Amino acid sequence: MNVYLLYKDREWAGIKKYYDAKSIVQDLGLKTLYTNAGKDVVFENGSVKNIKDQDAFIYDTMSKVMVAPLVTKDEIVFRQEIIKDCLANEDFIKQLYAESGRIMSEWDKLGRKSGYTGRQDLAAWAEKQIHLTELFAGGLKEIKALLKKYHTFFESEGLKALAERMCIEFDDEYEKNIEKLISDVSFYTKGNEDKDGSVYTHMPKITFRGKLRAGLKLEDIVLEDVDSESIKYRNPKSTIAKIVEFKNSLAPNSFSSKLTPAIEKQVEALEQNIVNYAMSFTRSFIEKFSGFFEQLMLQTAFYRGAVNLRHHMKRSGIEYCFPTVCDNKNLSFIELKEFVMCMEQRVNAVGNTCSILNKQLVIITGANQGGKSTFLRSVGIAQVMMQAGLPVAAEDFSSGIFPSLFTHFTRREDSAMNSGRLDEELGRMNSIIENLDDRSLVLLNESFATTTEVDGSIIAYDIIKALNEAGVKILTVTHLLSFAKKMYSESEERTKKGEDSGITFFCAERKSDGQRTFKMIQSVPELTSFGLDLYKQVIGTPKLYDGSED
Amino acid sequence: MGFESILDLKEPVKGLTEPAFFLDLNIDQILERVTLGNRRIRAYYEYFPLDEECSEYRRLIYRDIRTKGLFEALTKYVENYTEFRELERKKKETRGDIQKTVWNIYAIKLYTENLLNLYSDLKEASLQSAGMNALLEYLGSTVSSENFKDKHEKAETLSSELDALDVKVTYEKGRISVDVSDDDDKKDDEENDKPSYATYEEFLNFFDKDNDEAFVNPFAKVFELTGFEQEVVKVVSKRIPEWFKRAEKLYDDCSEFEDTCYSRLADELAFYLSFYEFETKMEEIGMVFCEPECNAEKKIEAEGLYDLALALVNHDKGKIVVSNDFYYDDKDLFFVLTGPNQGGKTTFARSLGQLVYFSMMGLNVAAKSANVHWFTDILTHFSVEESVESGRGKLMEELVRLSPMMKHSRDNAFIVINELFTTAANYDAIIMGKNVLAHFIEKGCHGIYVTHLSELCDTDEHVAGLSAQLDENGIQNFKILRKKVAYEGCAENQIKKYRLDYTSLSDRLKGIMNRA
Repeated sequence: MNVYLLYKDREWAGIKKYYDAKSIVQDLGLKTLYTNAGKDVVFENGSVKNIKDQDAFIYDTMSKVMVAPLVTKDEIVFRQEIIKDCLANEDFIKQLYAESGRIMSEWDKLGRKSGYTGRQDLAAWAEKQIHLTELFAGGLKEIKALLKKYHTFFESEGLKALAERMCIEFDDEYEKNIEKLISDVSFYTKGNEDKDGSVYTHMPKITFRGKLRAGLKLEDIVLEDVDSESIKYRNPKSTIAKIVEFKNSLAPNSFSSKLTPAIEKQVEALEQNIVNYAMSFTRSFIEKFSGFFEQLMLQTAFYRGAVNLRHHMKRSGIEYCFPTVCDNKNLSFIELKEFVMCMEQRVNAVGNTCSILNKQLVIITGANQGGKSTFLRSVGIAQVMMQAGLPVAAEDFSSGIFPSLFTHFTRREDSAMNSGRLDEELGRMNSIIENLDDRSLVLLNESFATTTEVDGSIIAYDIIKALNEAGVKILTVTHLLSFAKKMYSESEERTKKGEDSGITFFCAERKSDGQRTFKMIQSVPELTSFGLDLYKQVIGTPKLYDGSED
Repeated sequence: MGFESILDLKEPVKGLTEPAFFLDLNIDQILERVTLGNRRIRAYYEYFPLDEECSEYRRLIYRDIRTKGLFEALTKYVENYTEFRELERKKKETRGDIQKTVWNIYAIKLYTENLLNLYSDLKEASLQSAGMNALLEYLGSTVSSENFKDKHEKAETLSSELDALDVKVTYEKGRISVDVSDDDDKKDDEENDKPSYATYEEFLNFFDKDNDEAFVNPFAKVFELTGFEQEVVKVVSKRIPEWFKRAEKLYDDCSEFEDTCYSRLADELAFYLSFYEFETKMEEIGMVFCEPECNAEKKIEAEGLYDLALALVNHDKGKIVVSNDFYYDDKDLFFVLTGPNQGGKTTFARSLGQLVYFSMMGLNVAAKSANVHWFTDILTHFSVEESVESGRGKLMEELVRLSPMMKHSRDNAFIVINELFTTAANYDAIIMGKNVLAHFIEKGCHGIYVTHLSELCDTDEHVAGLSAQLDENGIQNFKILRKKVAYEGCAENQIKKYRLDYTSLSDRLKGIMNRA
């Protein structure tokens, strides 16, 4: 039985991840996102009541699912629809996830991880199999009831289909029969029970036929019926028990199952073999649904996480939207927030609004501490969330699909200039290049900063120009001003000729009084990083600065 | 008129040590597959026919088995005989008298039926071999005796009467009740709470109709009656007391009836059957076998000969094995085989040894066609790692092993020598090698001598030089031809480097992006 909530037609197995998912997670700070997806925010009267402890399984699930991108618009919409259903029926997804969790943890207690072996020990196997069958059957019954209850509220294809599949694959007949089987063998696992003030014990009721063959051995045994009956327990030493026993012993052609110790043992072996035989028929049931429960837990954890993320947005007052898929050359958004930073600092950060149409290369330059990296990360995070089917922290977000997403961020610890580092950086760049395809998006943040600006600019120019011409979409934050300028003048020349260069430039916005807004605007690349502003601020106007543009 | 052994063994096989050449020729690996690890069957392969007649006797029997479709019948016979022995064992070992008499019925029934079946199967096949015909005649005299017919009938009747009884056991509220009924008086007992299914399995099949697990009979663990069964038997004996009296009578009249000749037959047939089964399986996966022609002239040649042991290993890895054609000219006694390392020299030498072995055993050989005359023995000498235990040098080791081989070799043996004297100086090695060759040639032995010294090819007019080949690319093709060639090495590939400058990167990107 399939869950099919993450994908319309396949389960979570062997899904292709981003090529260098580890770098993406680190560069975009996705771990914060996983952590918060695992922590539910509980609201009361519109304000935060408390934040729950982290659910490690959700964290783990998000960390797997989010770095395995969806590759088509249909896949994205499929998940978006389910999330919408979950947001509208939060109790449903909470209960479904809780039930899957309960089954998995009960199953763990029965030794899920120790595997499906140990059939040599008949008694241990039978007991485990009965408990497992009972657990699975009970769980399926619950889940089926839950799906039936919410069925009419569902809008999404995924949840509707799951509810329908469940009613077919675990139909009422199956449910009835598996309950009968469990009750038939209950003499094996159930002890005494108190009922109406008396103690009842579960006794087997078995009939079989056989033939006497060579050596008079009883062979060709065919079981006719197996059943358990609940019988009032009597102390064997009591008078009434003795009377009943005496009366029974008068029955012709019969003997007590406890006539001799040997017979008692043989009867036990008979019971044991019957139970093992009967339960062997449930192996396929367990097999069929063990994968289902594992998948269900994982897949519902993802949606549970999605709901939690929405709660975190609400907590910080961030608007959310379900992104729309557009052509790969376009990228536009309204009030896009850097969601990770918002959650880390519990703020509603400054949002950016851009419409970058028909551009394959976006070069972002400008002041330090001006919000360049934040801008780049906000796009990256939204892109990853969109490609996971999640809502993003923006009023509107529209982008293409890039299953080949790469980040190449120079990390602080990398910045020391030394040739070994440059080698490493180029090596990383090379492995990105080796894995490019026609749906690639590369986010570069201060790349080639491990060498001098002159060298860095030459390298950046060569690589970025080649990539751009090959049709790779690139967003790059750079302090390599001579590189930016060269690109700009080439772009200008083409514009003069009436061509569209497909290149655009962004800067951190700065009011005329030097004040920063942390917003990014489309503009001509600036020549300085406004370190001079700081200089001016702290020391005074530098004397050896002519202020010329070139 | 008598019949003793289907293998023409003068006495039953026991405790023979494995011939020394099994390991060298990898025959032990082949036999492992043929006998599936059964030591008892293996023993028959370790016994060497004493003469050419014995070899021929077997070859004809094996041909009968192959061409007259006797495999099934004989296998059935062996299986039934094994089952019969099991019944006899239980009959002798059980402590319960009542059980002895019943085991006896079934033992007689199985034994007589088995012989009758074999007799009719053999009679239908138009047998050619002397061995099989002798067996048929002997069987005929057994099954036509009055005594045989009488005990067969009695056992048949008693067992079918017991079979007709149906035992129904109900276990409820801690008591077990037994109901015995005949097929005749089978009444449909109407119960109030009868389930909707006829058997519990019918219900269980709802969950998994492909479940192949069967109910395990808890009473079958021991062959004696369990306490539970004794109680059941009590009920049955009340019902049919007269049957038990007749069974007792049959036991008193007839409890020792086995002819050991048939027991020996059941054992010895395993030799042919195991090989037939192996050969059939190998043919199914595309390997070729043939019956060797065994002529009186000193001829030895084959087409499409291959190393069976290597073919088995290669097949597991999905590779095929190269086969070779060869012939010894009238004057040829020895092949001296030279050529590149890993060129198939040892493999070829082994396949020759295997050819001689299997044709001596009267079985088929791994080739398209073959012609092998009778050899008295097979002697092999393969180089081994230096022995740490003995502390002797490798050359010494070799000579110590070679000495008895040369001293005790019989005339007309087949000799396989692989890489002798590799640690000696070439000059010495050539002289020693020539002497060894001359010794065996003088004794009229045939054989093959694998060596890196091509000088040995020109030793004697009875020596023919062979060599392993390389193809036009200098790669081994494992073909063995009658000539000499020199060895050539293979070239190595170069490694490319990546570049990131604009021109070459743009170039690379064209390829990378097109790939997507």
